[in-house]
Order: sequence, then C-alpha cells, then structure tokens
Amino acid sequence: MVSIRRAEMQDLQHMQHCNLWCLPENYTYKYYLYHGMVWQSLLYVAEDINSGRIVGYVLAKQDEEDEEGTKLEHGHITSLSVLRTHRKLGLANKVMQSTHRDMDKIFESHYVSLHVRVSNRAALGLYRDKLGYETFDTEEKYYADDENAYNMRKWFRKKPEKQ
Amino acid sequence: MKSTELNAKQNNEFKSLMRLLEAKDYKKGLKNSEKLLEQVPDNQEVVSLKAIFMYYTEEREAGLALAYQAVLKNLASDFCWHIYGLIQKAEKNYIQAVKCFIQAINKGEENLQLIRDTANLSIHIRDFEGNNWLRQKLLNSKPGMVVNWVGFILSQHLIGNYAGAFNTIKLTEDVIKKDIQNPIKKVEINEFKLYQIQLAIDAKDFQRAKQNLLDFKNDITDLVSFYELEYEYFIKIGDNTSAIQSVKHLLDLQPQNWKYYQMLQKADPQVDLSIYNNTLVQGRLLAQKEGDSFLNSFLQFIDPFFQKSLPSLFREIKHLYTDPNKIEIMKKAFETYLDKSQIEKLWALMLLSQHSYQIKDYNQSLELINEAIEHTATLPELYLIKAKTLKKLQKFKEAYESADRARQLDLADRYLNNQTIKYASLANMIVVSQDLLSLFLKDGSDPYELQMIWFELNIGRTLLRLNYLGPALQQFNLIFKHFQEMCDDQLEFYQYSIRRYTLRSLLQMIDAIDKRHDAKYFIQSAGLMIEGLERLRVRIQEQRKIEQKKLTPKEKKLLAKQQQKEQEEKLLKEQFSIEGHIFSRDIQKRFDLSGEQLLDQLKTQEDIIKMQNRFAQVLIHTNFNNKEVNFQAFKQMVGLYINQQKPLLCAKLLTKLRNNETEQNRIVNHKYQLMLIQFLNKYQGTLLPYIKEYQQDLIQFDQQFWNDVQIKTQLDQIIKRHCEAIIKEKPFEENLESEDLQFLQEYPQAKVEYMNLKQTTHPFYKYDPNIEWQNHQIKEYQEKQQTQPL
Ligand SMILES: CC(C)(COP(=O)(O)OP(=O)(O)OC[C@H]1O[C@@H](n2cnc3c(N)ncnc32)[C@H](O)[C@@H]1OP(=O)(O)O)[C@@H](O)C(=O)NCCC(=O)NCCS
Repeated sequence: MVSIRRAEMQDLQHMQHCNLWCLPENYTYKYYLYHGMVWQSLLYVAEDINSGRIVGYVLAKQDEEDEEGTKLEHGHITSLSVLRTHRKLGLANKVMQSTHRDMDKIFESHYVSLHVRVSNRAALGLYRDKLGYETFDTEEKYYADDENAYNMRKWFRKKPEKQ
Repeated sequence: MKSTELNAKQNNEFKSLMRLLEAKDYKKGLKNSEKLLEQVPDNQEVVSLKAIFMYYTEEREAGLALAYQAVLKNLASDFCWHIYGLIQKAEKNYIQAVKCFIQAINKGEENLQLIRDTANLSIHIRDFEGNNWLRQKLLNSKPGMVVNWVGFILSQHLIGNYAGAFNTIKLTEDVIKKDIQNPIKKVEINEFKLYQIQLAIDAKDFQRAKQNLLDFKNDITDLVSFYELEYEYFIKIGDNTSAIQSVKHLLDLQPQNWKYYQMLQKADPQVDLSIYNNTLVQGRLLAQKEGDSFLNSFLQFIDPFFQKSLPSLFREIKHLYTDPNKIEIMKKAFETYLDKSQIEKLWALMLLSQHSYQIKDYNQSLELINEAIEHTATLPELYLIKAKTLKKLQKFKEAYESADRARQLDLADRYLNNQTIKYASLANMIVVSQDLLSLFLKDGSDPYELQMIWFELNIGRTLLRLNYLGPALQQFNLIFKHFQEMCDDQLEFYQYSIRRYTLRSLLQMIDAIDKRHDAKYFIQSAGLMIEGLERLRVRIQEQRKIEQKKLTPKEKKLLAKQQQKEQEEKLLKEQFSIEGHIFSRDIQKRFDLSGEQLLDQLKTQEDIIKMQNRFAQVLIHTNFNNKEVNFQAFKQMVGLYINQQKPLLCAKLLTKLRNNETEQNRIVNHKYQLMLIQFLNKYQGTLLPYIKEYQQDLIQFDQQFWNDVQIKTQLDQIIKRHCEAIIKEKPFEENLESEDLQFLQEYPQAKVEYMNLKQTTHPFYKYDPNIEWQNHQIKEYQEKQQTQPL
C-alpha cells in the first residue's frame, strides 16, 4: 500500500536512494538538501507503508527567470522516478499533480518545465497524455550519453502573447 | 584585521599578504610572509599568516602546530585566534573552530562576516546558547537588516525562549514593513506566518496559536501545511470535532496520504473509513475483513491489477500474510485465474509462486515460477522472483544468472541492473558487480562520489565474507564518510534558509540530521564494521602469539595457510587496481579502495578497539524500526563490551537485545543475552547505585532485574526459552547443531529443562506448526463453504 505525501527532511536520503535505483542522472545528498531547504512544499514522495520505504518521488524547484532571461516565475521538475516494483499504479501521476498544485498555488508559477529523453516512452506518455505538457524545444545531446531531450512545459496561467 | 607593531611599509606588506590569502595564492603568500618575518620575527600575527599559508601548501601538520604556537605566544591577539580558527574549520574541527572564533570576537574582532559564520557554525555544533549570543551581536551591529532579526528569532526559539521570540517577531514585522527597498515576497509571508503558528504551538501558547490561525489564514497559500498545523492545534487543545474538519480539508488535498486517515481515526475513533473509495483505504481495510466477506473484497481488489499493473500487486497484499486465516483464501483466489485467459494464467502462476515464497515453501515457489517462465519467457519480473527464491535455497550463482536474464530483457532499466549487481555480489562476483555498475555510470564518475551506499554495503559485505579485511573495512568506512558529508552539508543552509524564512524546514533539517544514524544502512554497516575489526584484531593477536613462540609443525602449517590467505588478499588488492578497470587508479587512490591507509591506522589491538568503540558508541544510541536489522548489528557489540568489562553498557545492550527479539533470531539472540547475563551476574549489588546516575533509558531498565533472585529466574527463563527454541526447530537430539549440544552441556540447568520439555505432554516439537494451522484453516474454510446456503 502506497501513501502519497509531502516529503520530510528525513526522506531526502531515501529519495536519493530511490533515484540511484531508477535513473542514470544522480546527485549528491547536498542537492536534495538544497531543494528541501528552499522548496520543501514542492517535494512529494510515495511511501510503501508496509515497509516504510520510499518507492517514488518528485524533486522540484522554482525559477524566477525563464530561458530567454525574462522574469517569469515558473516551476521546474528536477527529477522524477518510481521504483520498477511500483510502476503503473498511478504514483508518478499523483506526485506530479501534487507538486503542480503547489507550484501554482504557493509560488504563483506561470508554468512548469522539465527535460525528458526523447526515447522515454513511459515518461512521455505521462507528461503529454496524462498531465498536459507540450514540447517547447528539443535540446540536442542534452544527456551524458548524447541522447536528445525534449524541453517540455505545462502552463498554469495564460501563455504570454509572443510564445 | 590589523596588526600592531608594524611600520607603514611593513603594514602594507601585511595587507598584501591578506590579499594573497583571500586570492588563495598560498605559495606566494608563504614566500612573502617568510620575507616579512625576517624583519619582525616575533610578530605572532605574521607568524599566524605564515602558518595558514603553510597549512595550505601541503605542510598541514606544521601549519597547524605553528598557528597554535602563535596563539600561545600572543593570547591577546584576535587575529591569531581568527587564523587558528580558520585552520580548525578547514580541519572540520568545528567545535575548536567556534572556540577560536569566539576568542577572536571577544578580543575585539568586529568582522561581521566572521560573526555570522561563527553563528552558523554554532548551530552546526548545536551550541544554541552561543548562537543566541552571536545573533544578538549581529542584530546590534546591523539592526536595519531583516535577516539579522529573523536569525535572532530562530536563535531564541532554539534555546526555548519563546516569549523573547514572540516579542522579536513583533519588532521584525515593523522592520519588514519599513524595508521598502526589499519588499517581502508573498511566498516569504506564507512561510513566515506558518512558522509563527508552529512556534506558538511548540510554545504551548494556544491562545496565540488560535489567534494566529485566524489572522493569518488569508496570507497563507500553502494549505497543506496550514491544515496540518490547525489539526495539531485542535488536537492539543482537545477539540476533536474541529480537528476532524481540518483533516477533512487535508483529505481533499491529498486523498492518498495514509497519515491523514490515521489522523482522522485519532480524532474520531468511530470513523468508518470504508466510505473512502480508493485503493489505499480499500487495501488497508482488507486486513479487517474475514471469511467470505474477505474473499469477495479481495477478488474485487485484485481484479483491476490483472488488467494493468500485476507485477506490483503482490507487494500491495503482502501485509495480509500475517493473518493465517487469510492465506488459504488468497491462494484460492489466485487459483481462480488459472483457467481464464492465457495472460491471466501467467499472472496466476506468478502470484502463486510469490505466495509459496511468502509461506516459505521455496521449492514449490521455484516450480511455479519455472512454469510461468515456460509460459512466457520475456517478462523480467519472473526472473527476479526466481532469483529471490534461489537465494533462499542458497543457490547464489543460479540466482545471479536468473537476475542477469531479467537484466538482459531490458538493458535500459537501472533497477534490473542494480538487482543483478546485488545477486552478483551475493555470489562473490566482485568484478562483475563493478562492471555492471559501470554501465550506468558516466565517464569518470564513481559510486563513491555519488554516495551509492547500497553498492558499498553489498561489496563490503562480500569482501568481508571472503575475509579481505582491508578492502572490506574501507567500504564501510566510506559509508560513514557519506553520513559525515550529509551532516556537513547542512553548513551552507543555515543562513540561506534564515534569509528565505524557511525556518520550519531548517528546524526539520536539524532534527533529521541529528537522527541520521537511525537508518538501516548506517546500522548495518556499523555492525559489519565492528565485526570486520574484530576479525582483524584476532588476526593481529594470533600473529603476535606466533611471533612470540617456537612453532610446532601444525602451527607452521597454519601459518602457511594464513600467509596464503594474505597472498590472495594482495591479489585482490591488485584486482581492485587493474589498469583500465572501471575504477581508475586515481579513484582507487582517492578512496583508498585497497584499505591500505585505513589499515595503517589499525596496527595494534588498541587502535582497533578504539575504532570499534567509536562505532559502537553511535550504534548503541540508534533507534530503527526493523528488529532483525537492529539485532544483527547489536550482537556484534556483545563480545566487545564483555571483553572490555563494561557492565553498564552491557546492561544497556541487554535491553536492546531483548527489545529486538524476533521469531527468526530468537535462538541466537538468547545466546547473546545469556552471555551478557552471565557477565552481569558478577556485578549485582555494586551496580544499582551507578545505574541511577546513568542515562535515562537505563534508569527505565527493569530495576527488579538486579536483585539476585530475579537474575536467577531471568537466567532460568532464558534457558527455558532457549531449549524450547532448540526443540521446536530441531526435533531430534541427533540433529542438534554442535553449538547447541555444547550449550546444553555448559548449562546443567538447561539440560534439566530440556529433558522436562521433551517429556511434557505438549507435543509441540513433533509437528510443524505452519502446516498444522494451515490444515486447520483449510478444514475450517471447507466446512464453512459447505454450511453456507447456496
Ligand atoms: C516514468 C515513470 C516515473 C512513470 O511512473 P508510474 O508511477 O509508473 O506512472 P503512472 O502509473 O503514474 O502512469 C501515468 C501515465 O503514464 C503513462 N505511462 C506510464 N508507464 C508507461 C509505460 N510503461 N508505457 C507507456 N505509458 C506509460 C500512461 O499514460 C499512464 O497513464 P495510465 O496509467 O492511465 O495508462 C516511471 O516509469 C519511472 O520511474 N521511470 C524511470 C525514471 C524516469 O524515466 N523518470 C522520468 C525522467 S524525465
């Protein structure tokens, strides 16, 4: 049975562990701490309440400027993953929706952005079909192994005209 | 920073030295400081500068010593203290650094940066009083800066001066209003208000908490936090009706948060959770149902999984296996899917295999999973289940092979890759483990930089199993380094979060980091570290003995064997350092993967015991919710404390062992308890007075325990339980393990108990209780089926 809740500081080391079991993009503990200290309200975890283990998480943050350098408050998904043993239960969907809500309500974000491997079917299915993200840009060789990334966005508020 | 006793030219020279220090140009700094010293050899401030330049130019020890000398020769100089403090800080000797900086500040150093750094360091070493004093100083010198006010509030909070904190908050609000140049952001207001509510609740100032909740509601955008605090407030004042309302708001926001349902139950013990129609609650409620009602709900619960996410199902229902009544029903439910569609048959086979595993029938589990694999050969999950079962059957190599099959079916999946690494290291395949890991490592990166504790633990365990002590101990050592890194990582964030008003997160961080050792990985590796060190100690002890006496042929043979072992270890070290191996020479050296540097510090038995004690000291204060994990670590300390004749620690350890007794570890656990009790027996009477002075949890320790009679019955009881356990597990005397027989011989009392137990009419040693209650269950279930009207 999996519970979805906001992360506590104690969860950070377990989020790091979960990340190491799911993705090749890894970070040291300090980076998790950084997110936790500034944007704790955007961090959500999926906890298996039978074992107490963290089986999924979203690590997210806020930015005040967008890529063009204009001031536009927005959220950014730093990392998202769910352990293989707990996939397709809707957990990623739920942690994402929670962090979206808080980006919108607490930080008054205009939109949320993220990067995803162009080959990541599962994640693309989630972002595009379930959560309503749109592809904003493709970034060549974004990943260490030279794979391209889609830069995707989902808007909470009206898109500015020039977009 | 300034220096007296220098003429104008020398003073300029001194200033340029300071610039070199700031620019980190240590080499030039060292040269120039030596030149200046030729003119003013007794100026301790210049000596200090030379010292810090030396420190950073690979004369660490000498620099440290010289800086200390300078302080001693000019105790009145704030400058010398400051420099010595900087070196101590670089040494990560934070307690010393704070002491030095405070000396510097007391002696007139007015550098605000220094005061702020010291304040942050003082939180880091949890000297909250000192922090309060420093924050006050900062505030006095720059009262226009909001951040100094917020820092002062926090410092008052940390020392429990709530009245002061409320007062400062009021003043702070004014300063915020006046600071038009840096207007406070909405998110910051949100955070600050939430913090104030929490502060009022922490201070048990409920009147204020109530007022805050009312007044701030419109300023707060983080409703999750708001309602959680509101709930806490209502519960604390005993207003459950209102608490229920708060938690209902929370459930609207996060209907999948199990904690909220528990909060609801706490506020309303009569609540009927079944109205919440989601998998989380429905799954939880399954545990409360019985018989047919359980069967129906169970089928309803599992059916959707068959459409979509079956591999995740078993974990969702595993908790039901604690209830013997449900096990047969679940099995029947799985079996109904056997004759449906082909895909459902596959899932059913998989579930039945997991079912057999769960009731410890591993052969059956293996058979079923093989059948499933025959049905569909391309599903990675099946091979993982098979690997898990093979592990239980002690077939480690085959388990690895099965996991590797899973991996090859989805090479891009890191979970499968990591699982394979786990099985590879279980089969002692160290190099394969490393190679597999490298598949997901970027060029030049390594598991140690990335703090891959799980990997280090697995490899460390394997190395220890193979008795390669140096490399093994170093893996655990690296794990402890990561825990230390976690702690030091905080340093950057104290000021950061004060500036951003995220004080609630800051308080949580302090708490979380203070409890960082209550983690499975720490407890496991600390236990293994003590064990590895013990083996090293014995090895050294034996070597000493051999060196001291003439050898008999038998001993010579043993020595030869020992030397061969060491040869092998050397070989392994080389294996760890093969050129072109995934871990470059640089990485091997940087992380001391062969353990040579570590072993250098462990040359004598005393060194080793000292290090064991360091880990034991942390370990004995840990608190983790898995008894098996705890026990495996705690048992390593028994010999250590008995050898060192430490009765109080032994008593504490005894409580720990008793608290972590499980079905699984019972026999071994009792043996260790016995050892402790035997040892403690010597101390009856003399011990009690000291215990009173000992720590809180020891005072709670069953005091009765210390009177003689009690000790005797304790001992008897444990012997009895131990005998029961032996008999239960091993029905016939000839099947007893040699150490069990030895046990029976060593404890005459045990023998009597043993005979008594054997002769009692209670035939518990004759049957396997598992099978008995299962049969009973089946019978009962069938009977019920028959009596049910159609
Ligand atoms: C991507 C990932 C986070 C999805 O987690 P999840 O908890 O299984 O996802 P959900 O159950 O919430 O699925 C939501 C939706 O995503 C899509 N989706 C999920 N897994 C999918 C798959 N294997 N194939 C296609 N679509 C998939 C579906 O649209 C699904 O909706 P549905 O259940 O109604 O069909 C998970 O697969 C994962 O951790 N992968 C490895 C790490 C990773 O790639 N992270 C993303 C980096 S940008």
